[in-house]
Amino acid sequence: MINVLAACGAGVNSSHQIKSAIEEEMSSRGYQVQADAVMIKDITEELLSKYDIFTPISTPDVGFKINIPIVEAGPILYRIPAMSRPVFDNLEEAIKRLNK
Amino acid sequence: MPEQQLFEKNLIFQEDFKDINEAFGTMAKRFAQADLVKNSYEESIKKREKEYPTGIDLSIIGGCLPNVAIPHTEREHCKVTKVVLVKLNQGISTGNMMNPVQRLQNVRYLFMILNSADSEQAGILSRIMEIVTNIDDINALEKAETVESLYKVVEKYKL
Repeated sequence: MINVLAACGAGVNSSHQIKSAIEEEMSSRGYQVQADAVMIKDITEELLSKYDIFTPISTPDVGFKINIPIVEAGPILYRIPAMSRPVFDNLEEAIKRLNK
Repeated sequence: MPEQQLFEKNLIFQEDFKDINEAFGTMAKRFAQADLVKNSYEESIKKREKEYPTGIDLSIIGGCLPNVAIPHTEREHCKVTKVVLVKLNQGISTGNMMNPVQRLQNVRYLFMILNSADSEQAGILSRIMEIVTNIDDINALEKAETVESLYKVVEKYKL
């Protein structure tokens, strides 16, 4: 199981849309992915350590170095295949590199 | 959940706000009067928009579309789950959600999302994105000059 953390300012709307889209697309690509959605201000080193990949809308300044792969997922929100495909491709690459 | 309209006619507005803070100030007071939000909403939405702006760049969709923003804040400040549409007669500027340091000009529509604490409506944003990436709908909103005609464009959208 690959654990992904999506994040946005309010922890609703954007991050939930990203979470659903990632779970659906990665499942159809044959990966078992579980995503969670949180508020950016709730992100701590300890929280991130429980995840394999971080998928914020755009990379936030969380005040510490993020040690897991980051895939910026904002373009998924447009729901336009030409825009979301590169994000999903990057995510798939990141998943492959995890060697899990 | 039974099918529900995404928009309500009495939650569609056409305004002359000069900037986003004026929009938030006026709209927050209206929401509070209508018991849609708590008193903490105004401060919270202003702070949130500053830290995590919600402007959506529609120039990537093409067709010289105006830009939109989807202001929303934490659930604890809202009492209901609704979408409020505000057409701005003059474009204002907001930060770009996908790239917060970039200012987006000509933001002409606010889709203000009120999310209450007890419900999770992850689908709302996808519905809004469906509207704003639909060139025909945005052009129809551009032509609409009354609340009534704005409502006609968006009434087909369900939650």
